[in-house]
Amino acid sequence: MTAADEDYELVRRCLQGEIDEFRELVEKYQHRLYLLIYGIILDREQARDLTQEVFLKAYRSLNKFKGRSRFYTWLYRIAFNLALDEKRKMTGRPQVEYDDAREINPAGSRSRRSLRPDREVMREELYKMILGGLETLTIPQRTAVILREWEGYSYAEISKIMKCSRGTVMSRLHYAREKLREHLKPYLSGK
Amino acid sequence: MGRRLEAYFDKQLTPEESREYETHLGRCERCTRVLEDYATISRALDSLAREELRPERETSYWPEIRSRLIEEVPTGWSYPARKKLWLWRRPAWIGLAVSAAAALIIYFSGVLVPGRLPANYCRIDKLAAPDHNVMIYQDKSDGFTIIWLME
Repeated sequence: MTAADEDYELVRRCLQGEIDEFRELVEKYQHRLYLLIYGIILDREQARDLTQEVFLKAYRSLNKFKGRSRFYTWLYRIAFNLALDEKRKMTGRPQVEYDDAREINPAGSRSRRSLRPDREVMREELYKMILGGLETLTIPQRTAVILREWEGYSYAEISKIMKCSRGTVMSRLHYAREKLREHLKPYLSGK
Repeated sequence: MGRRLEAYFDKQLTPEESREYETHLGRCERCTRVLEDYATISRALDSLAREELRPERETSYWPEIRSRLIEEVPTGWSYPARKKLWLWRRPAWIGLAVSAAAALIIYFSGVLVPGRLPANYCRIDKLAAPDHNVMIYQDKSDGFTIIWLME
């Protein structure tokens, strides 16, 4: 039985009222969905809440899943749309994690904290820089990066998910990476 | 440079295209440097997902999701949720109305009215409490039992 068949079987059992069969689906996909959502909204707490919301929404409309696509693809679409809606709502709201990232000057001059010879702190700051870099990307650029880097999707798959041409996918990835390069200059070899 | 380099980095070129591009890389320092940067960014993103966000991987969302599903209004097909809806959302007056209607039907059917009880029924027990009464009647011929609860 393939993974897709297993998922379909679990969905079928859920539809018969066996709520606990949904657990396997939640635990199988929660982290992938969390990464996608986190990558778009860049807020851990909200990403966690939203990931749960995706599963609740999926369960409520499980009878609409006809098995024409993979269950994860179906979940993914729900997550993607919810994350984009949330990101739109968040615009204008203070975003704590990004504000933290701004403590480090993107131009490269380090704050006092970054001078501490502590590997953990350095790593933490690198992560903050990456997050700050992701925040500079447009939503389509960021989504393309996440789909490619975290999900490992091919250009063809990304173009299908994002409903755009392969050329547009390549272009988004290119501009996204160039922006990230610019943002992470102090950490890169090819300055 | 951009698209070709992008596709090479993402392993989206055919083997032949890749070989061609590698020939270009052999003599282009700039593209080589850009590729190194892309690889560093990719590793950093990967590390962010694996290490920084790892606690999320180790926490199951299921308990929270399950409790919310159980409490929620159902969509019409989920038996556990539907059962919960019945327990949760049934207005109190529905229960009272059903009990009253049942009591009236039984009363007017003459089964339980003293003096009008069919000859073959006899009361075998009675319990009176402040908020309800229970009377148990039984058919003498076939043992059929009626339990009458008045709230």
